[in-house]
Amino acid sequence: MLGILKPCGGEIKVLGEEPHNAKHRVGYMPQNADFNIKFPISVREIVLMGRLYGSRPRWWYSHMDHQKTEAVLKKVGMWEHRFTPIGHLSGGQRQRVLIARALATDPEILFLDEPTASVDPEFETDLFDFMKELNKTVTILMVTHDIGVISRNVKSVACVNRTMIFHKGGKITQEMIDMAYGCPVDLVAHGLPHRVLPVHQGK
Amino acid sequence: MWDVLQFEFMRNALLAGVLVSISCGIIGSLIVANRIVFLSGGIAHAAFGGIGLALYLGFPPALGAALFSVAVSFVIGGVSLKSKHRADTVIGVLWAVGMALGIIFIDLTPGYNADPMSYLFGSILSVSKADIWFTVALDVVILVITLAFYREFLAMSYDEEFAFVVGVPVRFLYFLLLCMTALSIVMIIRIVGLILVIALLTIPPYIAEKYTNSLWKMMVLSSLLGILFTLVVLWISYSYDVTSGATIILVAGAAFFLAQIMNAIVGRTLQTGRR
Repeated sequence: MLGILKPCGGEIKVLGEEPHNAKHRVGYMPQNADFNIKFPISVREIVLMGRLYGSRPRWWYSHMDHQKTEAVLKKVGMWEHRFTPIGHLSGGQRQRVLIARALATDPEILFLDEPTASVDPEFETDLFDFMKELNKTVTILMVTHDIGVISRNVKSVACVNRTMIFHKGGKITQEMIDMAYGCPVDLVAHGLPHRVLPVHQGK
Repeated sequence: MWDVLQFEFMRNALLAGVLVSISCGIIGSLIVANRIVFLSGGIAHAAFGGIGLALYLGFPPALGAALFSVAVSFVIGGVSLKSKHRADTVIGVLWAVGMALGIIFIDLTPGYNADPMSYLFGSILSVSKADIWFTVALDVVILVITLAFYREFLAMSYDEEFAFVVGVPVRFLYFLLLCMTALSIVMIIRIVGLILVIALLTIPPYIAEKYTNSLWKMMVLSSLLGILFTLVVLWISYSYDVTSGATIILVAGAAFFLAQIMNAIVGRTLQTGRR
């Protein structure tokens, strides 16, 4: 959906455009935050990357780019670490940096690939609160294998298996999720992923 | 010690060493950061085919090596983008075929009597004025390109996928980097020879990476390390009359192991300090 891989068949439209053309309107956070951790690069340099071609190609980052970087780093609570090399951070902190980088692109849609994969539980809760706040201004698309983390803030769910959609929740509203599970599904459901899935399939 | 500078070949050697170290530091850092060390090794060895071809056809070996290594870098680059999993095999094949071609062409060259050893192990003491001007031009080109695309190179080296998604022309930069690598290699061959190219490209950046926190500092530090190595080596090879190319690598290698040992010691003291 980001235009990295070409589809084997069919057509992909992001925001009504070819993925290639919608690049600048989409923010992306990779699944694995632990790549290249020995690379000599600071937190601020990574987030500034999100400002590359933010508006138009320039010789160097503008004042606005730096302001934006400061804003997103403060948003994820990593501003104090702006000069820290990426390798000196914990997995959760790295994840926050990558979220900040995705936000720095001023996205209309934010793609999060397994956002909770390497995050400590404390930050996981923070993350969902944070995403709820964020969700007021941008669409967030989250890919996850951890069914327990589907928080009550998730507005719609699509299940994908073996490249085939076997159950598409389309627009499951908060009330529908509550009805399906009989209770508000939130982070407390962590211990019951196996019970959550059959309910989902049987629908 | 300064009296050695009264010889023109010594002054040229010094100048060439410093100039090559600069391009080596910049390109080497990018090679290490992008993990294309093996690829660069393939280009260096395949360049020997170009040298042989140039000798056979009777034009300057440096030109032959330059054209040939740029061509090979594009082939290898294309293959490594198309089929990532088999790229190392293809590089290995081109590596060997390039060397073999070079030897066959040199065999076929009538009346050939230059020493192939000088291409294999370099000869910093025989660089000419023309070589130096070529290196100056190369340094300027590499410096300008790296400054112009520094942010893009940084993004590509750290996270190619993200760089692509935000719209960095990753492919173009990749081939640009390979092209610059190929041209630097031609010049480094004059200094240390094609067998040892990789060591001069990778050892300084590898040491520098541990002591710096950004890519440009890594480039600067590895250039300085390269210059230091060349100075030490020129002095050693002048005093003891040993092959300069091999001495550079031994000095760099010694520095490499020293840095490793120092790191281990520093790391251990830091850990015990924390406890």
